[in-house]
Amino acid sequence: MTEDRTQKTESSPPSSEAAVMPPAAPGMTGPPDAASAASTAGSTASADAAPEKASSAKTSAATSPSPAKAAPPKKAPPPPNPWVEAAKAKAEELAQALASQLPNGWLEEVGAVHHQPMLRVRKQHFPAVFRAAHALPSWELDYLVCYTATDYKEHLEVVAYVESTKFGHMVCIKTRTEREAASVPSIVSVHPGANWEEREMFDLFGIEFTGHPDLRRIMMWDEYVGHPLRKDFVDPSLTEEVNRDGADS
Amino acid sequence: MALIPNGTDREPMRSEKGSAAAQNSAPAAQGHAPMPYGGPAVDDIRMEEMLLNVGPQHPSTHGVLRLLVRARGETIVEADPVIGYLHRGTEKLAENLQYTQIIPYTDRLDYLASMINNYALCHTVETAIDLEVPERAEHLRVLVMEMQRIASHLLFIGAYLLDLGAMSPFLYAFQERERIVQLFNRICGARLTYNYMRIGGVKYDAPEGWLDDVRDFVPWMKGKLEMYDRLITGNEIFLNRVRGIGVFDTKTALAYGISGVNLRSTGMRWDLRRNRPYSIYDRFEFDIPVGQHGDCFDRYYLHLLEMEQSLRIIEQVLAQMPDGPVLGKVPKIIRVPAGEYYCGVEGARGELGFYIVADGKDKPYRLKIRKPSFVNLQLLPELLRGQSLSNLIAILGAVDIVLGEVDA
Amino acid sequence: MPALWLWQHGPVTWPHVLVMILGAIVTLAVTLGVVTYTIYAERKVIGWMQGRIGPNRVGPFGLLQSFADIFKLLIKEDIVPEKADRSLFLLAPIIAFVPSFMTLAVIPFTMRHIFTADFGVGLLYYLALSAITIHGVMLGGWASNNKYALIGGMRSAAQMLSYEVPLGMSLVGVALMSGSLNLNHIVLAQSRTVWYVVPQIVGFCVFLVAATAELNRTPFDLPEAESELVAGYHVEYTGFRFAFFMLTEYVYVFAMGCLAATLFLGGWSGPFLPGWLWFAIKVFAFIFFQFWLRATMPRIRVDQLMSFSWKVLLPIAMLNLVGTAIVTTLW
Repeated sequence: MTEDRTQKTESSPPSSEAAVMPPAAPGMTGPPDAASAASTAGSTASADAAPEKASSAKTSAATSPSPAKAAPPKKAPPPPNPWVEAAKAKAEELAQALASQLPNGWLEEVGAVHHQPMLRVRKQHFPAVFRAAHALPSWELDYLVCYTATDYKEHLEVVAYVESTKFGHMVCIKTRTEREAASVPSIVSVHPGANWEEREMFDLFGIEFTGHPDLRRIMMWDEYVGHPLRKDFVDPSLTEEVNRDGADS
Repeated sequence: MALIPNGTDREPMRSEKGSAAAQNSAPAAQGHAPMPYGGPAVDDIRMEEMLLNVGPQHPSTHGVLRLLVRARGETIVEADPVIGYLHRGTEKLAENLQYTQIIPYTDRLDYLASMINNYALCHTVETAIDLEVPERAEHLRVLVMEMQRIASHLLFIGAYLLDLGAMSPFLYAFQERERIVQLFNRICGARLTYNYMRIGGVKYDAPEGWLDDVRDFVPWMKGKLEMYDRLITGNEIFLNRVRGIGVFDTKTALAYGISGVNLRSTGMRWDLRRNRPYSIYDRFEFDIPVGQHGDCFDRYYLHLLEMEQSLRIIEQVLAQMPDGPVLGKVPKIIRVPAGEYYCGVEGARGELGFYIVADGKDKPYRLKIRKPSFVNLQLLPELLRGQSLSNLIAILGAVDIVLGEVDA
Repeated sequence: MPALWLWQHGPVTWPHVLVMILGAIVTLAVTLGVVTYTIYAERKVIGWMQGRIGPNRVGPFGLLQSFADIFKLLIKEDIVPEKADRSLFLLAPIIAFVPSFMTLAVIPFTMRHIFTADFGVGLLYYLALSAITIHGVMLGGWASNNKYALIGGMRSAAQMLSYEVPLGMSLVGVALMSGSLNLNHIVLAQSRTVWYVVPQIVGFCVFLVAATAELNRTPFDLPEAESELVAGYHVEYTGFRFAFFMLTEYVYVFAMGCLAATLFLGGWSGPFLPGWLWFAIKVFAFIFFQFWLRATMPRIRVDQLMSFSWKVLLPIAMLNLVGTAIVTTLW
């Protein structure tokens, strides 16, 4: 459907990306955020560290048989997207690096979320994965970017994007929990910044974060009943006369 | 009770021990002889922690933040931010809105930097549907975003100085900001909640003469920045109040997920415009100023320096501004293919990100906003512990939060 | 008839008593007028300094704005918080205000100080009375049973006590030079020689800083730091009781201006113009300086405030005092 903005990047004054890009690149595929997705490398901060991986991905993208114009994203079946493939490969790489430090059966799925590598882990090992990934040399996923949950009706999924400020990797780590008595071990011990996000999830999704130092509601008031961001949540004020103190519930 | 739902033990502004008169006539404790002059025995002088409610109606909490401060004398033992007074459930509302309809809701998150909020959402959706944005639109977006950054930083400096007791910089800042707001008013018809950007571009092209007026604005604003530097930066009283206060290091900042000026003040060169380049920022030359000490002064000064860099970007955008359409070829109803998408941009207060779970329909299945103010505010209790009450406002002000965003 | 005004030098007679009462009333009226327009001028001047217009709606150029404000405060409900210490709460504004007005009794407005007392220990009297106001402020803060008010009241007491010392010290130099504590004699001594701001420049600087702190004005406005303590000691006060605190504050600005003019700037003495006009000019210069500071300065921090008083101002004032003593003795 479209060209992407990385193309404009190439026409711009020399940047690290243009430098690694073959001249035949115009019209290449890849979504606008390809630069961040494939390498998540800062163009300045880690210009030397990341392009090894990025450039391989990009050359494959450039020579890929499907220019973006010919492949609207809705048409099926699309040829394998090179960015996604690169992300998957990266996820595999991380999974292997982590495997030695984690007990068997920690991993449930390796894949890609949009263009980011994704690992879905068993929830018992959720904090351990973050701790291992934080300490892993040449990964050092030390920065919790986005941490949230989604209600998929059958289960709840907790999603965290962690980034390495040193190497520029951005990885999505997920876990799942059942909806009834949902509980996930807290990662506050690894990323203190997860504190409020977990409180928010506890508040709005009803996920119990075991090991959280101070788990209480954050957005809604303490007496509130219900978890508004769940899909089956019905606003009580639509169905009954509600006492805002929550005394009647 | 709806206003303060957390129970009677937290009623603001009241001593929990009943009337002052009752305290005064407290019976002498048993076993201690009263002092010869009839006053209370020394052991009767109660030393207890004072529970001080700062906010939600307080001039310096910048909105409806409530800080539950336990203080011993004037030393803070613990400060617990209580938020949610402005919670509107934007994330839930968005689940029932088409992607384009969400844009006005983003205006109301960080209402001092609406343009950047607009952009963050549009950018995420464009990334998801792989949509090209026309050149001119992208330039206009960067232009208004950088102007917005200046407006927002100006307000920070003004409000911060007002917190510290200097009234004039606040009013000066509003005058400078007014000029930006007027320019925004001319381009999109609104002064605060712009709703200017669209998925695939922007709503309106710049009106006749608007770009020239922005061109005039840049040197004028540069002069004003010098004025602020002279007026504030060298003021001994100001320096004494902000130097060495609220210090944290890069390690702490990263652990807490701090972003934006708060992170850069620790010396970490981390700006998403560089580190995860988006839009057309890679075409412009600009520096990323960083602090050295991670204290409140650095955070103040970085705001000043960043405005300078934003002006540089604006100049370059104006020089390159191409002609052409301002809205790309966008389908009538935007359907995002199933999947999960996260994009973060450098907002005025840090990393502003939108995480969208799409199921192929015209509405998001789940929308999560990565709110920089919300994340940054978590560090506040750490910064306040053990500080004097008089530093509370200086530290809180420098963290630079907007409650519309914290509560979302 | 002029003899009637000079009641200090004769035995007290009924007409003299009448004149005393009349004098007090006139002084009160003048003071209230000055305070009203000080507030107006403050808003206007600071408005200009900040690129605003200032009050301009009530009356021509907003001249009646302060009267409108006073009227508003008068008709407001007088709220006493339920858990406040009622009697002290009601008493505090009066304790604060009365001494502020009484200090004006010793100020020589003109050479013949028509309405005021020619008092042998006028300087001591001023310092002693102005210290009483602290009690009103502290009681008001305590009686409100509000934590912000309490902190404000306590800060206020600490601050005013701390700065009372250097303020007093800076004035001793003047007393040494003139050899009198009578304010009118001090002015007369200055009109004969030179304004004491010249030989006592160090003392004047100390006085200026300490006076600003005494007046709780920027950059020393901690007791009522609105961004920290909401409004400090008078946070629970409404209506006329609040107006009393405001009034106290501005009467003290006026009184302190009068003291500065009297002790350092030669009081009513000056060439060409009549004495009262000279006096008014000097007082207004002081008041304007206060406005100017307010528009410029941020607020100093409370611990720095204390150390500044004891570690910087007081030693300077002491040195000045010793120096003055040596010089005057040798002369």
